[in-house]
Amino acid sequence: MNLAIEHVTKKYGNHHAIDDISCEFSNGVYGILGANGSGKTTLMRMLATVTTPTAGIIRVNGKNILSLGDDYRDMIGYLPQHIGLYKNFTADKFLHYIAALKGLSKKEAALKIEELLDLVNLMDVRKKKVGTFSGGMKQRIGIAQALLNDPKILIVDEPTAGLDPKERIRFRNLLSSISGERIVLLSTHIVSDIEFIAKEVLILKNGRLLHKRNPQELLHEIAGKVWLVTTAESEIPRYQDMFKVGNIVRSESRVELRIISDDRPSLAAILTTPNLEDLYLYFFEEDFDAGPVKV
Amino acid sequence: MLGLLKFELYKIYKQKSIYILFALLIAIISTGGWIDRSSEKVIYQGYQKWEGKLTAEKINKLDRIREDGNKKSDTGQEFTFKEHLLYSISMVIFQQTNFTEERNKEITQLKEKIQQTPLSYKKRQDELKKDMLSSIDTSDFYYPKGPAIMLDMIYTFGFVITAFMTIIGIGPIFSKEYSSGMDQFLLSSKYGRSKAVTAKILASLLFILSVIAMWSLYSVARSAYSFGLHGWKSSIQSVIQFLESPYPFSLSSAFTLMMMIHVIAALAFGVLVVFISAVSKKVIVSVLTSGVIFGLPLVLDTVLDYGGTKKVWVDRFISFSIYQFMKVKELFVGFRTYNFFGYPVLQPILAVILSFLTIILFWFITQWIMKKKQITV
Repeated sequence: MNLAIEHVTKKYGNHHAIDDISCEFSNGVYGILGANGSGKTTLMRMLATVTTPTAGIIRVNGKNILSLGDDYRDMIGYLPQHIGLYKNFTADKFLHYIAALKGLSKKEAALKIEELLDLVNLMDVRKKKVGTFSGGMKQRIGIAQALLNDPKILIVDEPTAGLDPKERIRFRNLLSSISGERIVLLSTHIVSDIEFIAKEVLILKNGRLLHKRNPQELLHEIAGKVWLVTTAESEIPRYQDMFKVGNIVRSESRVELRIISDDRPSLAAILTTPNLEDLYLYFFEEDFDAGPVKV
Repeated sequence: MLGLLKFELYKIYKQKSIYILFALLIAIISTGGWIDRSSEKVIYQGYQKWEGKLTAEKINKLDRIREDGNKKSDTGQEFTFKEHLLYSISMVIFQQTNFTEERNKEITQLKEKIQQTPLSYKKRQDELKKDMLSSIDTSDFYYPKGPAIMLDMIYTFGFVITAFMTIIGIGPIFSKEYSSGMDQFLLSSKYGRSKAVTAKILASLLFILSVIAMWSLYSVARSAYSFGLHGWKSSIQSVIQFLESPYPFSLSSAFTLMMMIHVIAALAFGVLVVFISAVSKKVIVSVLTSGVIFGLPLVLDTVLDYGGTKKVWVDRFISFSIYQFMKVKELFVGFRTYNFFGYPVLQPILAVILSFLTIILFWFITQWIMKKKQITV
């Protein structure tokens, strides 16, 4: 299976949501990393054919996906970023409806739904109306519907939003286990979603593709630029003004700052091994939220 | 396909609003609609004696009754119930025989006109009218109250119920998918842009048929209970609103034909509403737009009917509106034809052709739009 994006651009008025992107995918998980507004969702929507490129072509095994039409849609599973559900439908009915949309026979649908409800841990609530579901449960049923037709290309846009850590790990492992025979495209701004499962990471910024490499190669790019600095708490604002500061870890009266910088931020700074969070910070400084302080 | 159709029907019939609206509309039309059956029975018995072929003997007798009644009325004398009933029957027959005479005169005039006119659209139009008028048979007399009430239901309340239920039940069929975010599943799935669209249109049409079946059953039941199921052999001209109608129909054929035209026009409106829904991102926009398309000619017709001044283009606009086609009545009250390559086409036939064209055109456009549909925001 080969999926190729060739000089794809998507414009909304004068705004370039996607600007001349070209890349190829083969079986495996691809993480699409970008801040809000970077064009991740637009790219996913074009891959799912719910929107079309202003310019350029997307091909699967050499054929234009728009010419393939329903045949292409038969190959894909799509989980949109914001999922809408019929509030009056039970989980079971909703999945049967999507199965009908995907062309599964009643018998095939019944078997697959059984399997997927078990997989996403919703078997107990299959007869409950989805309008009563929590955000995480809705996300899980969204994941189940995307997998109904055993897709050759799985397109999941921010799939772990709303999932608790246990569910997130479960989902990550699921994607990893099924990626051998299919292309999995996973857009996220949560680095840990893709850190260990992505074959390659695509970095999108302002509609442009900055990088498409495997995580090790990307991390190599920032090798020698990640530092640990132990300092007094009062010094934090000064470092934040001057550098890109990631994790801040408190221990007794001191704090340890993780800093991304081309130059050594202080004489006491120690070089450390970069991770994907550092990479994200490196590319998306203005959008980065360091999160809670670890103690 | 059948599976998708079932789901679409389920989605339509799961809307509480359609049940509330239907109950409300039926409640409104039921107010004061039930008749005192015992007095109605007596009236029918009064009419029954005169039913059948209108012989010269019957007409003479009724003429005398009418003249006596006129004298009584002029001198201010009171009528007994029986006298009043007989006087009413005599007036109906008098009116009917008068119109028969006038119709015969018109036939003679048309024959003369046809002989003098060279072959043209006008000549063909006159020939058609002459043939139609000549085919009208009002020589039989039957008490037509029951069928007349059923006919009345089509063009007073029935068409409004169908339209309101279509707008509320079908208006959200696509726009609700957009506003709820379900469109992303629809547009990215194998059959979401093809079979699912067909299923939505078919489900809409089935829903409309069920609505018409429901109010028709109600109407038939109410009329049958109040007035009985007799009078179907009577001519359409025996109903006061169709006294001058040039159509040679019995009430049974008129009712069947008018119901069929109503159904076809309603299906055309249904497909139009589905199309509007497919291009409306919000349910409210879809519902309001559909409401305006149906309601604007209705309002113009009602307002200008009272005002009495209808410009030609307004008259044309109303005549060719979906409202008028669904109402059906105006298609049959008078003789109206349109020039089609020199040949006159009767308005009811044109209404059916245009309704079918609307169904085909908007069905195709809706399928095409959904094939090309993109999510923009």
